[in-house]
Amino acid sequence: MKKELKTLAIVIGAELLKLRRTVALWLTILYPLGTVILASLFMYSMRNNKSFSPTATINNINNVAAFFLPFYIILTISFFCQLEHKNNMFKHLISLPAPRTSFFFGKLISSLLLLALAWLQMMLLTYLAMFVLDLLVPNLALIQSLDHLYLLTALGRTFLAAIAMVVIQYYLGLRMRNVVAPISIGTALAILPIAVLFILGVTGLLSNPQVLHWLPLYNPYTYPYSHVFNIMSGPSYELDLFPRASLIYLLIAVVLAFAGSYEFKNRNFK
Amino acid sequence: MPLAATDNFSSQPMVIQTADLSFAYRKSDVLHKLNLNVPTGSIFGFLGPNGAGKSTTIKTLLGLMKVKPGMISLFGKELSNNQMEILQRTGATIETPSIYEHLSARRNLEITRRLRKVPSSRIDEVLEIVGLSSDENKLVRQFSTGMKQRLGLALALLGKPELLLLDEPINGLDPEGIREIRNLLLKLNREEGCSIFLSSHILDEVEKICTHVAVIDAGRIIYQGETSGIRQTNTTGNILQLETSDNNGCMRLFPDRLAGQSETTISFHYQSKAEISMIIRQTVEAGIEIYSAKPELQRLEESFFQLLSGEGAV
Repeated sequence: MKKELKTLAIVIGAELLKLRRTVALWLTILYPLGTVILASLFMYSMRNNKSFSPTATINNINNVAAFFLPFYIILTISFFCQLEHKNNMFKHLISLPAPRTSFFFGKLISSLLLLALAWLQMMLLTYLAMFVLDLLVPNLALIQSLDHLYLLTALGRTFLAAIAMVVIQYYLGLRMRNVVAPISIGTALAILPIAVLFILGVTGLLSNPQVLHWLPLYNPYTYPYSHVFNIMSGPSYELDLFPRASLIYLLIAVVLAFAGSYEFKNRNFK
Repeated sequence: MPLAATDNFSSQPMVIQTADLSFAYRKSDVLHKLNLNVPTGSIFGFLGPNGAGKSTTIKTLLGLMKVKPGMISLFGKELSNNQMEILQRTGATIETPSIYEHLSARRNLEITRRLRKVPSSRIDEVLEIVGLSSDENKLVRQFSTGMKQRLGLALALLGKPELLLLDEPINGLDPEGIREIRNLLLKLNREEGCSIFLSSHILDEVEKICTHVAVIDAGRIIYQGETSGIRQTNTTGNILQLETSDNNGCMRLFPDRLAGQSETTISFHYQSKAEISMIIRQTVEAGIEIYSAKPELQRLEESFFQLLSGEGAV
């Protein structure tokens, strides 16, 4: 077991070495930066509004983060997996003396580490944004009245809600040689439920869209934003890092990861 | 149709052996009961037209594709039960060189070095061996095809392999690049004792460096043995060119062997050195003077195409 873990650690180290100058790494830098800048500019424009507060700022950043999160994950994971499809890299890796499962889980854990890095940057940039907003609008005392636990939990639960999506997108990325395919499937999964609700609501085909409120919830690609922002009844926040649905999605992620590793272990690399 | 003899070196230790190795894609046979015997210390050329099954064979030897039925043994150990140990002792390039083009040569080597668990100093050694030391920090996307091939070879050499499996290692190289790779492979074989199994389309190169060859067509081995032996399976291409004092008289001595006649020379087919000697002796005994005798062996390329067309059947 110790030997397997050591090999896994080596594979993760090797995966992280590959990230230099990749789209995946750039997206991991730009996604939190873009999110915080966008949300902060919006909040600054609302500085005279009564609802301007540290909590509102965090919620706003979290909403923007949750909205872009599926697209960040779809693109990052697909391009990260694509590195191995170019120039037969998979064949090279599999012909090295390390178990196939180490390569599978090594890359998956590295993908999750990218997600964790994005979350960490989002946290730090949020603090920075609060600091800057505090300088620009000192009378609101944003820094002094900031709820650190709320910031940690709000952003944390959004990112934790995306783990099942990471695993699914990772498997799609590993399975499909052409990067357009996993990106298209992921994007369709992220957009379709919302688009269906929107179209049904706008066209009046569904008089009460509330009856379909479960649609985004039961799709791992829309779950992160459905659980921080209920599109039917407005924002809904709870200080619960792991809501029951997130736990179920986490369990699904673990099952899918092991099923994926089994398929990868027995796959023929033609 | 099984052709020439394949077991004339079965007493030698084998670095690769397969028994009834078969593989099918969607019910279509790609490999059919392959029995490969690659002697330890040899440079083994694996020849065949496109789609014959060369790359598939290499992939099965590396465990990239699971075969059933059939048995694969490398270093005398069955692949299915000893894959990690076998891969530790083997280096390979498969199809195009497997390289991350957005990274430098050194970083590519560093990634594989970590996975192979070899010391950092080995990177400098392999860069030196393949002549890429001065380009180690250059991005691979700026490399020429030849440099990429050499980097692919460096990756394969990182683990100090006892066996190299190379899929088309000289594809896309210019003559200078081909010469460099040829010399490098010969050096590795002679100085490091590395056994080399390589597939190639470039028959001249195979002829120059390989001690043994196998010819595969439509997933079946149609020849396997020493490189010199492939010519003996079909000797109609071996020509003895004579310049004599009486070419017409000479022609009458061996009418069945006549291969051609020019103004000054006459050519006969021969199958062995003994036949060269016999032709010369009988010509001299007939009182005809021989001014020059030039035996020309059939080239590997001709033998190869004759084997594929079935003309070389024995």
